[in-house]
Amino acid sequence: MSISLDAKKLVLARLESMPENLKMSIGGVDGFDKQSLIQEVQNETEIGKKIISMHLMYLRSFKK
Amino acid sequence: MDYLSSKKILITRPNHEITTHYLCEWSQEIVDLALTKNFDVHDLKGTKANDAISYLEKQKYDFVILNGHGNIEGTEIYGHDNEKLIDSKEGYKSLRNTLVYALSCCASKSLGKKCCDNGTRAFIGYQDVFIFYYDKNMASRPLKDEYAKRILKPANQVSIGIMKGNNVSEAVEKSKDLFKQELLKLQSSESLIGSENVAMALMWNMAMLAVSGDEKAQI
Repeated sequence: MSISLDAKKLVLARLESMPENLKMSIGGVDGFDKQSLIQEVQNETEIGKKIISMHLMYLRSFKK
Repeated sequence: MDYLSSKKILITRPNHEITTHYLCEWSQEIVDLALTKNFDVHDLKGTKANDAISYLEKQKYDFVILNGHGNIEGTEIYGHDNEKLIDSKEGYKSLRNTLVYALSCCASKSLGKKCCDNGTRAFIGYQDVFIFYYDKNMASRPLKDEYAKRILKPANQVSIGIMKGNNVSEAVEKSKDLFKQELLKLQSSESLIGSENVAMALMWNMAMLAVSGDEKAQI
């Protein structure tokens, strides 16, 4: 999956507003906090790509 | 009570780190419901989860609930300490003639169809990763975690629906309805800080929930 720079920037900006106490369990690995999610997205890891997909799916739902 | 007609349920509840701890705790309501319905429940908690195959090979179950991690390829489901439980090479054969719900990442990407091609009545699972959020301050009390609750309760609805006599299609629809209800609540309320994150996960999980096999199957 190729990631557009705009999509990545958008998701990174959205992740900045994530509360500090919140952690995510995703893909068999748990305990991603805000900073680690930002790193995954910045590095376009498999987890990072899933996070971007999740954000974009949600945002697109408002277009309908 | 007629033991001969009692439904037989097997549930795996590995519990070796945060994710499986949450799934284990939140699955208790499923075990409790099964017991109130006088089902014959084999609750494989902690390390016992790794004995699932030997249970499945010795007796026929009406409903099998698999909690635990799954690989990204969707070909394996794991138990306690991520010991491989079910795979698409051999282990899937143990799920013949039963109805399965896998709360594991990607199980419906590949394993679900493989099982049903081999005689599993129906396989309900997720086509991609299953996501939930939790409050790091509540990790020792998962049942009090409002973030996790919003996601794990709708996910549990599949099992609850099946045990209440819904067919697969009905149980999945009710689960999706609950996902949608939670989504609407989160989108219309500011009461939960970070609610949009939970809403995204709800939408994602709802989209990934899928069925292989007979949608009319019921226990």
